[in-house]
Amino acid sequence: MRNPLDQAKLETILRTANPAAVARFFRGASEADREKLAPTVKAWNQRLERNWRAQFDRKVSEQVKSEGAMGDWYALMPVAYLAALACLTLAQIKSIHIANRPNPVMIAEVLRDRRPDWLDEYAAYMCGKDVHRWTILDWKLVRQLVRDGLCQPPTLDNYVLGAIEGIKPPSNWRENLQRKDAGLPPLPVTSLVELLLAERDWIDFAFWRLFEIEGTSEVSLANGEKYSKGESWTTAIIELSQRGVLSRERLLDSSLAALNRDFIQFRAGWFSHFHEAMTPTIAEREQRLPAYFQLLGSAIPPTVTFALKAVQVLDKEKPIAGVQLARHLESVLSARSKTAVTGALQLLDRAARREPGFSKPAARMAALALLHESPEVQEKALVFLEKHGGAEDSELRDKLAEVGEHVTPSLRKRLSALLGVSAKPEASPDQPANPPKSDPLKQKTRLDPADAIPPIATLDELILAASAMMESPDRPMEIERVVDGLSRLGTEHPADFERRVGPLRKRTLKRRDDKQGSYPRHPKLDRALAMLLLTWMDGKDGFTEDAISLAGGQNHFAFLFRRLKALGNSLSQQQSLPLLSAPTHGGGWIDPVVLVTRWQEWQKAGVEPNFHEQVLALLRLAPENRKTALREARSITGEGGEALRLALGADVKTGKNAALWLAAWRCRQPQGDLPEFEKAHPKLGPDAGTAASYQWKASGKRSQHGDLSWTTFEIQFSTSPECIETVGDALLPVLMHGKWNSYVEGAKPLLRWAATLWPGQREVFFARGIKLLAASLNYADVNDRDICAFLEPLAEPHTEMKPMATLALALGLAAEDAALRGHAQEGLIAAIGQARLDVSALAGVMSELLATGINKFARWGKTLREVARVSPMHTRQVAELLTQSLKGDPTEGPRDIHALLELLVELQAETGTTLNDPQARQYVQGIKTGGRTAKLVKKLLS
Amino acid sequence: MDLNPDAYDGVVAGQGTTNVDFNANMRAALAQVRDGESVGLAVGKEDVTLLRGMEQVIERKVPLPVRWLKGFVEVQAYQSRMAKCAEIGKVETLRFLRSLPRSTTAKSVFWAVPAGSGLRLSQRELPGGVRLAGLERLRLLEELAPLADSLRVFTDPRGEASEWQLRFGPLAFHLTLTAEVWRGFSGEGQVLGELATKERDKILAQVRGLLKWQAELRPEEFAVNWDVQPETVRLALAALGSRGLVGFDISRGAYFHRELPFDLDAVEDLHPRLAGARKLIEQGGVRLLQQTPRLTIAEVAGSGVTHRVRLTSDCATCTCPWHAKHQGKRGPCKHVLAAQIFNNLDNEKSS
Repeated sequence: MRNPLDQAKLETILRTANPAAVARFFRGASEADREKLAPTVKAWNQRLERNWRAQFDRKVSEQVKSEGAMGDWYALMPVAYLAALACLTLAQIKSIHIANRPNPVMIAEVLRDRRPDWLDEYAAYMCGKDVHRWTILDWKLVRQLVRDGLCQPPTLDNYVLGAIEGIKPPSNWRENLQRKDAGLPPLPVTSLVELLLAERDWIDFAFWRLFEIEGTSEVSLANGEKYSKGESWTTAIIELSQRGVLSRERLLDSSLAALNRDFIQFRAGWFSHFHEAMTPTIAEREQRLPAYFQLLGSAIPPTVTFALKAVQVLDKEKPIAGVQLARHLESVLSARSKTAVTGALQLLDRAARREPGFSKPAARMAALALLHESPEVQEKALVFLEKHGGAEDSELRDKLAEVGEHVTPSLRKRLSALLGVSAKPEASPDQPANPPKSDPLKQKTRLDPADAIPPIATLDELILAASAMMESPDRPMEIERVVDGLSRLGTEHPADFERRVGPLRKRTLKRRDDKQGSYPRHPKLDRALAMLLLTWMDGKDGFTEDAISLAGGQNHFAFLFRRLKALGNSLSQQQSLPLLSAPTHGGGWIDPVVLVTRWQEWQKAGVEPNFHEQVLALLRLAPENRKTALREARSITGEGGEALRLALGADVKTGKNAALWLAAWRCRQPQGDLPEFEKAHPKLGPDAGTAASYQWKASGKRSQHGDLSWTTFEIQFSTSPECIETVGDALLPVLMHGKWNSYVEGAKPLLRWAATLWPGQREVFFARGIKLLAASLNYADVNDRDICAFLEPLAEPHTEMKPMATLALALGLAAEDAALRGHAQEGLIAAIGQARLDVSALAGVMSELLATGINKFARWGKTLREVARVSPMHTRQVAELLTQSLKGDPTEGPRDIHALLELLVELQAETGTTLNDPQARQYVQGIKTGGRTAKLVKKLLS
Repeated sequence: MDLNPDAYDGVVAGQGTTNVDFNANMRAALAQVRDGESVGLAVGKEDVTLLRGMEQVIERKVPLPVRWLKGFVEVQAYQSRMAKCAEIGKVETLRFLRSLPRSTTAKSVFWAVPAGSGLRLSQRELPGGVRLAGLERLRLLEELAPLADSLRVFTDPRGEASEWQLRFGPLAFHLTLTAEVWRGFSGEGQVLGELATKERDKILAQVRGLLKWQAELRPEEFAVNWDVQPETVRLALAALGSRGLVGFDISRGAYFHRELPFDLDAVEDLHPRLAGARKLIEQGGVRLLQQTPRLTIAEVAGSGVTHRVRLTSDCATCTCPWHAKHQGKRGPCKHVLAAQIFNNLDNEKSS
């Protein structure tokens, strides 16, 4: 009689990494004896698991420390799990997390010895978990159990899917590395075919379900083909078919059936490629024609293309009746894919040529292809209609009437000729391409009452607005409202003030103390606002960092933060006066009359307005109402009053305070040099006495890595004069050129705010975004949603389209990210609509960028097409823009220039114009290429 | 998907609600349906069956997750406030849907704005525009577009939800979208105000008593019979909608009777904010500071702070982070609800 199991001996074995010892220990033991050891084994497994969890769970780590950490827990896990399989219940086994599992052979040995009644359930459990590429051992284990006759093959999907990765043997990379060092060849690899043959029962039971189960984002036949190294399943299956192990007929049918199963495009693709890899014969295809027809209606475009090709191949050898084709090609003719639509037209054409009686029905069907957005496809459809259709067919005429006006302009005349009607006259070519320059005075005023910013009136409103601002500080005018509200109402502290601001304080404290660890140089707008609010609520300085630290440098953000700090100081001193620089209207503008009134209030209170406030207020002055304001401003004393009068248009001598007088001069004259200021305050940097000028050079940089090569767009960019080392902290126009950490993730609110600092001159604002926009051509990433801030002001009615704005626009129109392109598009639409666009200037920039040869600029074709759709004026402007951009050496242009030429052809057809510009003609003539581009060149030059 | 009687041949044996999941087999069967085929759909109390030639695929009824129930209720609340803002024809529909960018980040916001006889995408909020984030959701319609006759677009006044309706003769496919891709309808809180109204209203009980699976419930018709204002009946219908007893047909602009499998006694428990509000009242966490016909100000207890709630006839504000973040767009916070309920109770006591 066998002795009962010795617990002490087990505990010793559990502390070794010897799986065989576990198997020997439990061999032949009864369930009753095993059960007695269950608590010990369970506790041991739990302890090992805690040691695993301690790596990433602080609480568990504390617990492990107190009970004594185990350095070798990983090596001990396989033995522990084997012991669990030998004596725990299934429910207990399921609760164990296995970070290092034992060899499936050992598991099978232990279970073979025990033969519990739950083995089928255990196998199902192992197959029931999510399948990942790292769970291949689960499949191996289940296969071991099935092969050993210990359980029934599970019917779960993962028993099928798991084979894709699970059938492969463990990688011998360590050993192969050692062999390589020793100059030995790598270990031989068993072929997938041989591996599958070794799993013959699996093939018989489960293989065919691979054509029924889609798989997951990690494990599928498509994933295996694309991402796994080694032999492909396609090759292996075909070989097995050739050896007679797998039925060829069934493989062909199953692959088609899989394509009918609504799998996603990527996973469906494996089945169509596989089917073609089987190289079906004509007879096999003919047998499967109904299935191919069925697939023509698939929602997956590549499946439709696949089926269409199969039908085309068959039709060439064994012509298919037109009536049969007609039943199945209708959905293809409305497909998005150009290949599919043109393929369907070719099939119909062949059928119509074979069967004259089919011409009319075929033509009626072909009319659907005119719905396609590609002019190339529409032209093919029109050729078909001209060949097979006729005006006498009333049904065809009705169909064409429905789609006619959406046909691309260059084809409308031909369509009308087909219908036997005279074409509608296109836009008169006599209309000027450029609308007359609008009178600036008649433009929308910056001080439109509809854009007025209503000031906060009550403490409750202030608290609510401040709370909303802290949640999302992404609207600059809302921030200004709150800051202005604090300035005017900040000293109102009724008896229940503490209670009323309690929720806001709680939130603000949390925000102030949230340091956003890893980006110490990232401008921190929300923290600065939190500090200001705490200063207000607590009545003492709540700023725990200085402006430069918050801003990540001496720059315009630091200016903003200094402004907030200054307001905090005023509140601490119980000053309650209107904020000098608070915008009165959207975009950051201040009504000069209102500014004068505010300034007078400060003067009346006997308090000098904060210096930064004075500077910002001057830079934000709207051009309107200055004369009226000047009359009232005579009463304002001090250097500030003098500067204000200069800004409003008076003849005043430049004073001592450089920052103040620079702001005054730049308010009065945003562009160009300021000789008088420069004389008084020389060499202070760009946009001080000397206006900033920008130099840029665009190029394509070629890179190579192994077999891969690629070209990225680069721009060399500089400003002159250069920024001086130490810029005065209120010299705002110069500060805007200052150094800042241009990692902009999360900085959108601050960037938007920066656009309102000097609304009369945004060149420096756009200039700061050029390099970021240039990078956005090469790739899209999470920063793009912040980079958008550099393009948003392009759509504002008072943004002047100067060189940097124009360059930013051109780059934005070619960005990789759709939202960035969208912003640029809106900017261009608005600029055209508001007569702000200098077509020649933008065309000049585009011409320079095209000369880099970077193919990304072909994206302009798409964005400009959308702009052209907005109105006839937009159409003409875009046509002119494209025409003027075709300058220089065409051999340097992008490979996909046809995208721009195609658009130009359409726009000229729509506007009734031709390519008359000599430089553009010369450019187009110089494009030496074939195919579609050559056709477009011919059209443009005709 | 709405099927008008013209859209099918068959018999309507009764009315009800049957909820099923379409699993792999059903989806595979539906994926194989082609034009010109004769397909049958049988919707019964316990299952939905697809009949296609000799093939039959059955999906049995499943319990509806609570989140879905809440979602359906929220959708009808939005729909009842939506107005049509665009209707475009077949070709423009196809052109617009095919112009949607293939890849955007989920946080990119666009507006669909009128452009000639169609729509285009804009990055700016322009008049007549419909706010959209998570454009990939709208691309669902692209496959159906070639078959559609037209596209109608509806939006609620605050731009928090939109409905895109493809019409195929007597069929219509409705796609209702929240403003952000990460917001499911179940958490939108649009019905909380109505749920907070207890069923003491006689009109509500009367309307409920007359529900007989009507396809259209028009407040004006009820109002005439009972000599009350249509708005009173509309509010009663809205309250019934919050309990899953009516839905809203945006095409007809009318409520219809439907019964979601809610346990009506437990419906309030499904809304944590409402439960939280009632708890605040029970714990004495609400104090009225000012109460006039136009304005009520209340203090409501928060976590270590006191929130100030202001109620007027057309808006409610609170100093809590939820309200600060969402500004009432995702329904009232629990503090506002508590103040509203408390205020109503107080008014009833006084009257």
